[in-house]
Amino acid sequence: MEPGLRTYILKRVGFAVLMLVGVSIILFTIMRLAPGGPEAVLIGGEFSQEAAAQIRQRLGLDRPIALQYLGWAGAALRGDLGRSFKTGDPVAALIRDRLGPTIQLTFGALALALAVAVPLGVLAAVRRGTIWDTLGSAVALFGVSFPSFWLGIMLILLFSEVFHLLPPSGLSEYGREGDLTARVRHAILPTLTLGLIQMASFMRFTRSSLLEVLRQDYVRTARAKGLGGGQVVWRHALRNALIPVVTVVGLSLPTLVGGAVLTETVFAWPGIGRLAVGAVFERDYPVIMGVNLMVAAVVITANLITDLAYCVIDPRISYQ
Amino acid sequence: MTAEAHAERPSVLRRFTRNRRGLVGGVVVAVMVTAGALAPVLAPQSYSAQSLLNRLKPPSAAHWLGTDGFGRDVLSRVIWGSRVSLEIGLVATALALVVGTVVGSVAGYFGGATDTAIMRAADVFLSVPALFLILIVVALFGASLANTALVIALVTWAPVGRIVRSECLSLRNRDFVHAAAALGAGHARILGRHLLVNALPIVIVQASLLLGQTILIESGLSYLGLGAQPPLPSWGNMVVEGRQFLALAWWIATFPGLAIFVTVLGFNLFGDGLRDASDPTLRGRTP
Amino acid sequence: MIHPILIALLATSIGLTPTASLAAGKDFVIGLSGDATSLNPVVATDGQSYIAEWPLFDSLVELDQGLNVKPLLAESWEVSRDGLTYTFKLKRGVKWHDGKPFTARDVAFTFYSVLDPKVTTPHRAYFDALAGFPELTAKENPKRPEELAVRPIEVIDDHTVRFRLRYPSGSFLAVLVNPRAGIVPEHILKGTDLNTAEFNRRPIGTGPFRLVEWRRGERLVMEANAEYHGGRPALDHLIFRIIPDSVVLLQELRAGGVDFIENPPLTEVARLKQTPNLKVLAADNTSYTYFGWRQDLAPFTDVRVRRALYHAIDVPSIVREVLQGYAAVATGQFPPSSWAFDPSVKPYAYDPARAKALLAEAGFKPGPDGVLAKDGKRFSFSVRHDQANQSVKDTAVIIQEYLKRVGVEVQLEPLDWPTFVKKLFASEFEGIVVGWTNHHDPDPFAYTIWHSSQWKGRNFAHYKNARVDEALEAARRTGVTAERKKHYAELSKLLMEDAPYVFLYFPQQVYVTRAGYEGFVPIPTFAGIYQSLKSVRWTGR
Repeated sequence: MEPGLRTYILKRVGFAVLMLVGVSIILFTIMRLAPGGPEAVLIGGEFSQEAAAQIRQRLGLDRPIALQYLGWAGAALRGDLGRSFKTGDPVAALIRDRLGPTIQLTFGALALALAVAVPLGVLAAVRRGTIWDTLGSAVALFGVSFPSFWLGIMLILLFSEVFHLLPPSGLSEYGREGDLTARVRHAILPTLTLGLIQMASFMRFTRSSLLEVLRQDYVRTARAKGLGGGQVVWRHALRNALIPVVTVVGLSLPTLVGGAVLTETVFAWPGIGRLAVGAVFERDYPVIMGVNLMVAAVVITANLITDLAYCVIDPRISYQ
Repeated sequence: MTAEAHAERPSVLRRFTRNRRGLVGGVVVAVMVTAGALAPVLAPQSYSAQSLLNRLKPPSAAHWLGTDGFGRDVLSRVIWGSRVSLEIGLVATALALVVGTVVGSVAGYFGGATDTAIMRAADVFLSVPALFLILIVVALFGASLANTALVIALVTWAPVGRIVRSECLSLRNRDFVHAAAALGAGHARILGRHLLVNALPIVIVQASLLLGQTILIESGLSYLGLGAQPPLPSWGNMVVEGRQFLALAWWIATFPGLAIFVTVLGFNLFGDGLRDASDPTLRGRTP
Repeated sequence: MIHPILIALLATSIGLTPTASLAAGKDFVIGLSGDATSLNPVVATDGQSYIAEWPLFDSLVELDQGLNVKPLLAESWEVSRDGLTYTFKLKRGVKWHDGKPFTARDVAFTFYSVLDPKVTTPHRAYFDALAGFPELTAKENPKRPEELAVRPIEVIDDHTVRFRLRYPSGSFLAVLVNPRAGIVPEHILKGTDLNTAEFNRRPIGTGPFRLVEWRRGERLVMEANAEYHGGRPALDHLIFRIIPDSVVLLQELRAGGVDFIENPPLTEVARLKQTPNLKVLAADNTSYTYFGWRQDLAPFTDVRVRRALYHAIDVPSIVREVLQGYAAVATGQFPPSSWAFDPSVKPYAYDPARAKALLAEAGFKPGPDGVLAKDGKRFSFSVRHDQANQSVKDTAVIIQEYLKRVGVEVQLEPLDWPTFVKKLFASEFEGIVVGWTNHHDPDPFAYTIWHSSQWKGRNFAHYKNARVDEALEAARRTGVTAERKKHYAELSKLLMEDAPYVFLYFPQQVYVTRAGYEGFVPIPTFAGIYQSLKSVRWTGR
């Protein structure tokens, strides 16, 4: 490995850690500056100012905010994200339980989006300006011009109420968790809803990236040498065109996870997104912090990996 | 205005008008913005006037798009809704553009450590899913139009900043910038008069795409109960309110849903058209 | 030749029919809009937790449909002549879900935990009548039960427990019912911190069902308790599914993924009633929804203004249109199902002209913008409410419009529930639309909402009326129901005269269930229908 590259990687990893710290500080500040607190939820019907003060003390919310942050960050470094104010569960365990469904949903959606968007994008680029190009963009634009919750509800109406084909919501049925067919059937509608959000940008990106490559000299040379159109596209151009698409996939992660908040709510999908929504409404600070920190860590790591992979794959990129 | 920027304008305009889809988008956007701006004049009734005896009435001569669960006129609410939805969008987008453009151009122009510091800060904002951050702020600080717009700006300035930065990076080594510097122009002048003017097309493209996004974000917030608050109509909260009446009164949710769809599509087409016109090779480069 | 893909499609389509529950008729799936947070009846604070606890925990006594107290874990009880001692004989042979015997020590442990100031519980104030209550619950140096001269709760033997009161209380038996007074096991909880105990996630009760699985945010599964002291329930499993979107919940009911839901969108009820395999159940409730304001802020201090607001709002049409008739027009603190209800009290009629006249009398004149003003001050105020409650939200929007018609301007300020509750109890509001869920006994809420000593508690609207205080105190001092009834009737009359709130409506609780499940008993108290899950059975169609 050349020294320039090594320095670059070290620097990049250092930045990633700094960013994580930055994220946690921003989140912590926003949360503690907000009016209202978790006491009201915890006490319920018998709310009184005295009881509230007592709860704040029990939760350590009466300490200075900087101290609270340091205490939290210190524990987080040891892998302890604290306990939910509301239920007393360890936050790490709550996240672990909800991680599986969200991973299934987001990766399913990602795969679906890519499976549809890449061929469409290629078609649109190769047949630039034809009806295929128009059709491809239309499909892509259609997908991003709907509120996703609306799309989800419409899909439920269509496939559950009208055609009785698919279950409206949930991860699986009680007693049938091991049944793969049941799980797949439950996953179809939410995956489709979330996948559509991402399709358009993947499709457009594939198209423009491929167009750019097709214009480049070596493709022209290949064509001049008499290679057929299909061969040029598949053998030479697409491979190079897909490199930047990989980056976009990495960058799309926050959008996907964010979109999961709505999709999971519509489809009663017990994932991270709903955990976050519930925690926000209940001011369950440790859960809000834990979930966001975890998601940010995943996003930052994914970006780090794509960046590093990119500069290894494509030697033309300079790394400073 | 520099001669160079001047020279570019007519061709952009001509290329744009030849782009049929972009033009359609432009018309849609223009219609919606006009509807929003003239809502008090255009709306046949008040957006909040109720008549419990007239609830859930289908489209008729008196109520072209029917009435909602409170007996309010859906047409009037859709028209007013364009104002509310676009208001959030415009404020958020304007803020995001200003911050993103200033930050991005400073980073791109100066480069080096300034660039690194600024862009890493932008990365921090990019690494929390936008909807998570929006949810936290709006839920904790209260769901008001101002809060919603502010927080959308908070999460959307970073991508704008990135794009402006890369544009400035590529522009700053162009001859006309060097020439201006040689003629003794200061940083501010070069940035303002030369770089930004040339980066303007791409900024406008971003604005158009962002506006479409904010309408969708607002509707998502409405779904979680955090969007525009009643009796103020936003397309988002109208769809959310109407969806429980789907079987009984399809018109309540369908028309604002259609408005969202058409408008977002319009902004996307418009933005795409602009992008193609300003630089055909750029098409599809930005997510 | 048939294409292989087509065959695959055909094959999967066979599996694509909507699936019924695991064992049709033996499993009962209940749809909930949110998850429970704690399954410990001592510390739980929210409705979903109360519902999920009900099948798991039994209380000493329970209510029947006429709100009479019936034995449950207690076989019988005796009240001393002075009304200060309650002695309960407990049922023999009752076992906890882990097989250990249930004894009087568990009862004492449960209620001492409720009194323990270290435990965060919403139920403490209900036990105000217990001997030693002030000492045990003191903020500074609370006493422990052993340090008291007279033990408030005494274990006589394994199957006998005695409660001592400091004053006779007509409502004492009534606070011992579910879902607020489920008995918890001493042998598991002794020495633990009840606020965070593992037990809150894996509860052990004496109830008709035991917890099998709790997947957060997804579902709770309970199975029939074969050893249940009241006989094994007919259902094998209770499954609570958590589905946040009300429209999707309805879809699940129609598709067969859920057998029972509560609070369907009321506009859908007419359609649901016509669905052949579904059945709509309605139950009276103890709650009422009201439009209130700070009593000590001008112009609400003027009784003419308060009455004008009452006259300005067409409550019957709200009940008819928004609540689709699943509510009664409220006439005060007590719902018709309560023995304290006084049918002779009538609300102010909808009469906008009268409202305008009263406001003019109070010195208000129309301003240039159509809004009334007095001494240069516009009659404009904010109304805060919970942003998540659909019927409250709708009601607030309607009130805003009605008041606009008489020249009063309202700004709606929907808040998230935690913030809203905090502002309520800090008296930080002008107007509010919110509901009270009464206890089925009149005292616990009537006293704390209306007595002038309670400004720091539920009387956050700062109501003060010496005659109301008198009626409340008199009702509290006697254990004789007929006497109490008289005092509460007086209270109801005084309140209507004074118009401190616009009492809007007594909402019913509406449930939809799959036809074929029978045995529901809609007890008119909060979530009362869930008590009958132990008797629900499948009868076929």
